[in-house]
Amino acid sequence: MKVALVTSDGRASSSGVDPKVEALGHALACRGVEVEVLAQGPVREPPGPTGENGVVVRHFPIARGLWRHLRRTSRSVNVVHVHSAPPPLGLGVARAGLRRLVFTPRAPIERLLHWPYAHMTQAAVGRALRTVCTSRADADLVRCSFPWAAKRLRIVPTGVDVNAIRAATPLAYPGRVVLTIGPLERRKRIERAIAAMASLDPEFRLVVVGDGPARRRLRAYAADLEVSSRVEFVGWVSEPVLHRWLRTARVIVALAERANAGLPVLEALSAGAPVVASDIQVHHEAASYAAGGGLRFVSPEGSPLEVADAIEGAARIGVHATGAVDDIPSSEAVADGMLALYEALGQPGVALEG
Amino acid sequence: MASGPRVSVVIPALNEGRNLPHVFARLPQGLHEVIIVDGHSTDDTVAVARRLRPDVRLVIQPGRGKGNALAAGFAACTGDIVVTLDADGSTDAAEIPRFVAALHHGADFVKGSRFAQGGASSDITRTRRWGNRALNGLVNLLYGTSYTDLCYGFNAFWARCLPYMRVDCNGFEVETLINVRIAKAGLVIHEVPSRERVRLHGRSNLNAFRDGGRVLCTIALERMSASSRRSVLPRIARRRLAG
Repeated sequence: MKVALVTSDGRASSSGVDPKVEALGHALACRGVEVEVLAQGPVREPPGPTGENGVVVRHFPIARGLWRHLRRTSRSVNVVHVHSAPPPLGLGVARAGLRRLVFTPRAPIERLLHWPYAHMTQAAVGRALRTVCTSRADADLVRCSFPWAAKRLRIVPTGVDVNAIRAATPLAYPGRVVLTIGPLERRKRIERAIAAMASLDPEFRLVVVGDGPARRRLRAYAADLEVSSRVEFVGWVSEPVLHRWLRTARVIVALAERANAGLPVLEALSAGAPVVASDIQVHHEAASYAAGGGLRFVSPEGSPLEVADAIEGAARIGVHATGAVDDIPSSEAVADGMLALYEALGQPGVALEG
Repeated sequence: MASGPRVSVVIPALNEGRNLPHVFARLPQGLHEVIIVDGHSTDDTVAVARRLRPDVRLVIQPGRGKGNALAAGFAACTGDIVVTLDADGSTDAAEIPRFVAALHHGADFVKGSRFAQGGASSDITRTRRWGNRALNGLVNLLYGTSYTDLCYGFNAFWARCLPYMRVDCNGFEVETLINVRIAKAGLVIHEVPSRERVRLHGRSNLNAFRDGGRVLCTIALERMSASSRRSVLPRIARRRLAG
């Protein structure tokens, strides 16, 4: 079986591909699948296809080049799975005339279902044999917006490399680390975590992993509140380093007002760190994997004082003292689930339902 | 108010010896502390305050201006809740329980408003009313707030809000500065209707045009980042604004 994974240029990584898509590709390759990752974004060095662990990675600076490549190679690929953060990419792939298309919306679905993205999302969902959502909340929204596609919906939560996180060594960092993970976009509401630092004890230090268009604004905000000395922006880091930060953190905060997967919550649970999360459905879904305490919810629109109180309360719980975490979806389980889905699509007679 | 969070009342005063008896008579029972911040009065303000209330805390402000006075008063507070009042008798201290109740109902900062439903003012001139309205509208436009009264000194807030205010101005623009900074910090703000009375004795130090200009500058400067504010103004202009 040959699978093409299509993605936009996501978080920085050694290959310039979204790490979750990259991890899925490697896991599929380990299961004997021929995998080609097609990334739309700036070309990384060296140019031309790159590959390791049996996965070929191709970068396309413009979507049209990617679209042409798909048209040219569609007959040799069994399944094309597009992980689309910018909706135009999903729309473009959907119009490539592919026989077996799987669509996973990467951006928060609330944004994709409104103008100006609604018709692009509808077209992508309409052309896809399967739409794979990463949470029940997203699936419910897609089902409500496109009831005719309900039978083609599947839920495969984002996987976490639980063992790698638990095996990571904490970093030597002064003070009590409060960790938050980007991208640095407005919807992630990282400014609330920065504002909370102003009313926390000086020993609390905020570490912000990631980058994005809001970086400059957030730095200026921290300077305005005179907490710059206690807020560190470390940029994007590799997965092993991220795992070490997860193990270093005294508290992990996830304050996004919209999210399509509770990945920060899942990663925090895997690391055994207490979590302060915004009270949205996706985070509650992720929290359902934790059998005990360690999770505190705050209003998505509430005061930084509320966030500060929650951080202080969570810090008192202590690291690695949260309840037992069962059934956190692992990367391996996700790969098995996706492979089963691809193989089912390859059966003769599978067509668009509904 | 004897039980529950401790309430500190901060009253900046400059030659208000004749008004303090009226202000103190309206203070509710059970306050944690009353702080008079004296702006180097030349009358008997300090003596009157001590006579009326032996447990009053007296703070002599280091500089001049209302902003400087409030900063000194905030630094001296030991309560959980801070209330700011004017010493000229125009604000009614009997309204303090209503402000405190709003804090208990989830607000981080409670603003008194003469123009909210139920509020009134017997003291404001037409010029100041329209100026207040224009500046108020500008702040709401620039900072996404819903204020109805930008320049009113009767406020109450949890002491934890003080790090977000970082009062660093000296003049009457201090209320605007505080209102903008707490909005930028994302604190929960409630407005409470308040009735402003005519100043009882003496004359106000407020100049509508001079202080309106300072408020406008404050609004504009707060749009900039802290580093930009430091680099844009030459040192002389900064000294002038600091008064």
